[in-house]
Amino acid sequence: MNILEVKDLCKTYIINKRQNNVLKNVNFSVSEGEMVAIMGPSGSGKSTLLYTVSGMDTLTAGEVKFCGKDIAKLSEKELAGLRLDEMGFIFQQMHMLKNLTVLDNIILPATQSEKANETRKETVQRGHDLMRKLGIIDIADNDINEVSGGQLQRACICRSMINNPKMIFADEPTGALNRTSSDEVMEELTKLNNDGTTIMLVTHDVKVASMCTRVMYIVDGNIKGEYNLGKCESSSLMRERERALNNWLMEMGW
Amino acid sequence: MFLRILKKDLKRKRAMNIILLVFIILSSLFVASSVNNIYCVTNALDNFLEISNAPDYFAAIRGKDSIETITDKISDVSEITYSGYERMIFAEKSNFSNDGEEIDFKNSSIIMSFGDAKTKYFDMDNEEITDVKEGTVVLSGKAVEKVNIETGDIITVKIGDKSLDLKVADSCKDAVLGSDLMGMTRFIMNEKDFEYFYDNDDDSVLYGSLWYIKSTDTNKLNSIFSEINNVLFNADRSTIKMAYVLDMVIAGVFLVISVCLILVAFVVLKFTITFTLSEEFREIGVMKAIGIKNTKIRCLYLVKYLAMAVAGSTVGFFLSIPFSDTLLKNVSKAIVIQGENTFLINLICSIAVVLIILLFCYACTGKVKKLSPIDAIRNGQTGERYSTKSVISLSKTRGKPSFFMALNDILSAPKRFLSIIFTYILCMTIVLVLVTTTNTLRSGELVNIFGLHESDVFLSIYSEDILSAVVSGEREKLEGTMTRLETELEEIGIEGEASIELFIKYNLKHGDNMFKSMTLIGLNTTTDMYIYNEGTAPQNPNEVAITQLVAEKLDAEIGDTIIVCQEHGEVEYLVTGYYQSMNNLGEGVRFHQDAPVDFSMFYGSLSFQFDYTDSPDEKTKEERFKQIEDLYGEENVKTAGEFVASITGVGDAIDAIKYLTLGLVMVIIMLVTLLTERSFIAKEQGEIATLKAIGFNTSSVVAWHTLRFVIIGVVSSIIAVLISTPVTNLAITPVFKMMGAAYGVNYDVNLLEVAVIYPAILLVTTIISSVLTSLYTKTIKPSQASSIE
Repeated sequence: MNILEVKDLCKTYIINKRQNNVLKNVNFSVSEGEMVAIMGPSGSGKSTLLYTVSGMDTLTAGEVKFCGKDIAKLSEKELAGLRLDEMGFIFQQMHMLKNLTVLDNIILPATQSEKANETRKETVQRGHDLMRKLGIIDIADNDINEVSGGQLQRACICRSMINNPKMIFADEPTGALNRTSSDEVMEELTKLNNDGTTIMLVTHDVKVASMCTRVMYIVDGNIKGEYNLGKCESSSLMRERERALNNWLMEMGW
Repeated sequence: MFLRILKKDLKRKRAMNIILLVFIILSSLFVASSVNNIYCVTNALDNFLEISNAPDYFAAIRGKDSIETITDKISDVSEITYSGYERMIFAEKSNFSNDGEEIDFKNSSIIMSFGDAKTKYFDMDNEEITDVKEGTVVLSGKAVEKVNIETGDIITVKIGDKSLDLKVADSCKDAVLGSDLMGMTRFIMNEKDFEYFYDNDDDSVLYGSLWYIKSTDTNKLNSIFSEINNVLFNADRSTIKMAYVLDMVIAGVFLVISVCLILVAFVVLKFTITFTLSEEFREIGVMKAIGIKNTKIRCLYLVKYLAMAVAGSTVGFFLSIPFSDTLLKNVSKAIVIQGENTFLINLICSIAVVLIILLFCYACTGKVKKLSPIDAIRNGQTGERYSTKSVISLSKTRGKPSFFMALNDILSAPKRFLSIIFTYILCMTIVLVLVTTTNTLRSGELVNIFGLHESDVFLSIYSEDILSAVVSGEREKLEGTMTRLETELEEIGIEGEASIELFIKYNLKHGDNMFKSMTLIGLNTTTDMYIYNEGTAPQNPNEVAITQLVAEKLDAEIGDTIIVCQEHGEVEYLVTGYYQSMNNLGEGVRFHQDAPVDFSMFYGSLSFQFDYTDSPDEKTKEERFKQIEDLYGEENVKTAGEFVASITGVGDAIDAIKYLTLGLVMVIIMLVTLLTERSFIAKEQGEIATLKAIGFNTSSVVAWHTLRFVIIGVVSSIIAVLISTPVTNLAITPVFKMMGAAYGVNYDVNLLEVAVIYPAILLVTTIISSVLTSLYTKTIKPSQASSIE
């Protein structure tokens, strides 16, 4: 079943009175449980696509359906509700509120949401469980300036997961991390995906993309091609998946 | 290259630069106009007395023959360099009518001829009055304000059996008698009209002369005039100045407001400069990374702020000229205040603002040394630049996170909000001090300080009987009027006792010290009805209580015996206690009710008083008050509070200043809230976008930002309410002391107004401004979370 359906999506910016068509009639869909990577050269519209389909930015034309709801028809408040309860977000820069501890940042969306209908104690317990799962329980009460980038990005994953979203959108989640941290973060995202969470991410990293089930390659606002990798059954197959993806990307003009 | 960087900076950080420019304009405007006010107001009284040609000494003497008497007495005094007199006729409200209705000027009046004028009089636009045409009259400005008379109205003046209809030509500022405490309304007529009234031998009319003397020795004049029996009042220049104390209260309030505005201006200026510079870490890091030296970087920012300071101060300078004039016009309707040096003072202040901005900027750019290229590389996000520590924990609180985030922001970085809190407290405290001062000046409790006892009703009626008693010196006349008053009220079912306070001028002696002072004796009252600050009430006819000022002048204290020179000779009185009085600027002696009264020295009285004898409840009191109002007219019947307000006369003026200040404070609070909130939004764009990305809607973000100002507003209000009474004591008590209340006054703190209404008005202003400004967060898109540095 498709969780996200995109039809004839167009996004145009007007910069200095000049029209800039960033996305041109984009069509695709994402099924529940998929982990889709969007790749493409810089300025091709990857991030714009991610933000438009997630309702963070408005679309110029076309249709985006998330869980059957046409997001173009939703009000600002309904969109915020959708992002709060049904979606999770991870950014390249680990945006968190400076004046809150790591745990407070993680549970912040849960305290705003009315979905779970739980006590603050239960919310905190869930926050702790998520942090334990991602191996950052030790930094729960730390300020965000006291932890490393990798830990912070894992905290961002926890925050994106706190309201049990149906889908996580990640914009270059490993872009600001070193290889070790990057591997750790991707490991966590893969686990989440294996547990049933749909993920759509933007990346430049072939290794990161090779861990996804499908890769879409975008050039000049159009999806030029798709590559189905399927679920990764064993870590020993990773190098092979990476090589195959690399070959395909070369064909695409990467 | 520098210019290009500056140009780009001005364009790219437009919002913050505009905010800074607005603050510079405001600072320049407030500082220039406030300093100008301070200069003009502090010099105003001396200037006014100088340009009016006010004398070193003046005295009012009754009787047409006073002219010869005084001329004889002072002709051979070598210290006198100039002397002149104005002939005058004393009048009461029964002498004036408009459309058949009596005009109550609330105080004594004198009628004089413009031809006799020995000082200069100025109209309300501060222009000298050079002529009073036949058939017209010029009145003291404050008197006109108190009654419903306008220029062009016709007043019927009736003196004895002569009457004239005169057109009100103008209002004037009168240096010698124009102050509230002098309490004289001057009617300046054409010579011909005055001669018509003066050429009269009616015994019921009180004629006299007002003497203006310039002398190097006013003490000698004091002793000369103390030997003259018919002196109604006499004073030197310092007393004339002192009598303007009520006007100076208003001027003082304005000075306080001006100083506060200057403080607010600099506090917000420093906040904005520090805030905008803290935003520059990335640029500074990049510049350092490419090898630009610290001094060059500092120079760049100094040039930028110099350009903005010059532009802002220039605009502020031009705005300050009309703003200064508007403020000065509200300071005094009795004093000529001229802003002669407005241009120069405002220019100097505007230049000073530019220099101070550069100083702030230089101090703030000192941080450039501490910033490193790493700040630019890591966007200041990874720990090096900030060290905030969350104080409270979301996990331990309940409810929606907006309030928690607002409170946590304030607790985590209180320094950031300190300037706003300081500004709010300052603004709120000014308003609360004015509220308490206004209420106190209208409080019935002050009646004691005016030498009266608290009565149920104060009646400004039968003033012609008081004048007649002054002229004839017959005590029976007043006693007869009191009996008549009691009978009239008994006829409408109100039982009670009438009383009146008599002001009598006596010469007082103790040792070598002698001077003429106002004394008080109550008709139909007892001395235990008044308040004494030290010692006891006079128990016997040969005992008196005196004020601190009289004690100082006579060098006498409780237990001493002072001598009072009465018609039948010198009488010794034992001082039993001290009391305070704002009559005659603190001069006063209270006699026992059975002490012999020399009515030839009777000077006047404030009002008849009436006390119910059957102790009615509040409701009955209200009904009776209404009945008495119906009988004698609403304007003649007052409660203690209304009576005090009418004596002090500044209640309305301070009320006007209170509302003007409230308006000004509301505008300042709105501007400070708007500009600081806009600065916060500019700095927190990333956080706002992140919150929106994770599902917060605009209203939650607005609530978060607004609640910060609500918390700050509430905290500031609480502090302002708590400190308002001590601040009032500190700022206003000295003024009351100057007026004669040596022991200070009990302030009438109206809790509803001070703790609820006014803080609520200012809090609502804060909330409205912050809500409206924070709505700007609507324009920040969640997708910006990825692009904002």
